[in-house]
Amino acid sequence: MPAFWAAARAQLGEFRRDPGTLLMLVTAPFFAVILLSVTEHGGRPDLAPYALLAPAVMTSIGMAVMEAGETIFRDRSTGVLEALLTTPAPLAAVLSGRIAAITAVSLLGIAECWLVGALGFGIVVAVEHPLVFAATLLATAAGTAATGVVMAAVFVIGRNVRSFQNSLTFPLYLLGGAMVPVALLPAGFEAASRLFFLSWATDLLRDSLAPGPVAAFGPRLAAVLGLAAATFAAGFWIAHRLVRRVRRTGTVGFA
Amino acid sequence: MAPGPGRGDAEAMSITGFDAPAVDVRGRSRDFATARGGPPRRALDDFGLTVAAGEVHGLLGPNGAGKTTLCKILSTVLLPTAGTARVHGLDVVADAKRVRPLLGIVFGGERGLYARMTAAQNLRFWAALYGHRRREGRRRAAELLERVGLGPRADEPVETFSRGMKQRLHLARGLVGDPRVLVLDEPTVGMDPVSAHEFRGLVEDLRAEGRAVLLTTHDMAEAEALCDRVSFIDGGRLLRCEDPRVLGELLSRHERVRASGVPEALAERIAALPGVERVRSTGPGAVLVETGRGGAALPVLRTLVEAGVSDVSTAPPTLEEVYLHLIGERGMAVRP
Repeated sequence: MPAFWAAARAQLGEFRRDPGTLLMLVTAPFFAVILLSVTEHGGRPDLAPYALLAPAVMTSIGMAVMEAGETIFRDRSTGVLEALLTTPAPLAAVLSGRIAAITAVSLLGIAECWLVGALGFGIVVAVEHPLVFAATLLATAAGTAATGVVMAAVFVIGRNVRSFQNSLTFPLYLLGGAMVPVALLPAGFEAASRLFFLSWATDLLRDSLAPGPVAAFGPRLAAVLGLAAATFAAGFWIAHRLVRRVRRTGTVGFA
Repeated sequence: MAPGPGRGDAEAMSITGFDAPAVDVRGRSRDFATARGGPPRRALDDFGLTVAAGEVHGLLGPNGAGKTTLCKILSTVLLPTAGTARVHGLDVVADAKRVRPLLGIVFGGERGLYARMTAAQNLRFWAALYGHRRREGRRRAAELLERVGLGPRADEPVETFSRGMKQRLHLARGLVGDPRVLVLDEPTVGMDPVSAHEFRGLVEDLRAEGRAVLLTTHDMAEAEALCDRVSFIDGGRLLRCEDPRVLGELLSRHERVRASGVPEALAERIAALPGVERVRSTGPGAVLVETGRGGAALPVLRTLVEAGVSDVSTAPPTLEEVYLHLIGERGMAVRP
């Protein structure tokens, strides 16, 4: 655990020293303005919760993936990754700490988007089921961090991380139902998306904003948590396997 | 700051075998794949080495000799292709998790630190990776920064440090886990003479604390001053393992004389002097005289000065030249 917390503190320090890493928090309100303009001028004010939630979720998952790649890229090019592998701390613990900090900070995107709705459009989207919302948000943060760990672990073997990380976010937005509920996607997409924790999480988050009752909350939250746990486990396993691979090939220090 | 088994349990003492050699490498080989499916390049070839606890062992060799490859294998960053390597009886592949707390690694150069963090933040981060909790990490970081002379600069970003200061911080990072074996890969590169002198004092302290130190260097004088034994490595093979006093003998035996403004006839006279192995032309009127026994440089100098040559200097042989002498004497072949 000391490694996890030290990595989280290091990442928070990185945000302070290099505010450029928070760029997605700058773009989130602009996305909110675009989407809310479409729903409002399209005569669908009932979609306002969707329009505010989408950029917030995209910011969270996007920051996790982008910064996961940046972290590995930076650590590899500065020789820190090589030094990390000589320590008793598992790489996955260090990655988890860093990405947990990134995810925690990315949740500020929710507040930003809600403020855009309230201050820019006079729309206050009420959280009708605050407990459902809070519990789902925590589970979502865990799953997002887990996704970042998987991505960072995969990036350990890649040397062109930057060209991948940007492209990878879009399939995640789609399969996670960030903008469009996965039930509205073609059948093949929906089946695949149900293996991704975010599709369950975004549905629950949207339901927590609607006045009606939230159906099957327990099982759906369990699906989010279970898939998040499976993603974490996959991240640790992939990190272990790929670190062994770069040890075998001797490419740990290659930048 | 005496070294310990990490968290100090008696079981670890018995299992890891602190009575075993600190480093024991046998038949170690490491191949690297080459581009376009060519034959693998062998960086270490049937390499063997033993370092006792409390020993400072120098590893000398030119670039590409295999020194860093050995350091990386010992520090578990690189998997070997064949052979065994043990640290206090623990195999670096099978028992890597238990080896890491026993080892501190200081890679040369400026890599391996967070440039925007302060020195103290860096050390606290690395201390946590060795299992130290926050308060202990703070204490340890402060203690080590003082020890390497960076206490007054503890709260300054590493990117503002000189190369020598970064090297010192690297050394502190290597010590943060309280290792029993310290692997130093060209640790004095970039250090000014005063810092290098202080560094040598620090290594002496580490030896006195019973830690084993494996030191790779190009600097013959550094190896001679610090090491209990030195190993010559080239082409991934161990050429010789010697007491450093042998190095001193080699250095004095193979002294070289450089001179300019030397007529050809004078060069021929010098070549005929006893103990002169070779006179090489290094430019118009410039020569490099290589001697092959102690005291042979003196008649060379006398002859040059008596002939009116005033631009004369002497220098010890380079590492590569010592190799050539070593190999020539022992009939070994240098690998390409």
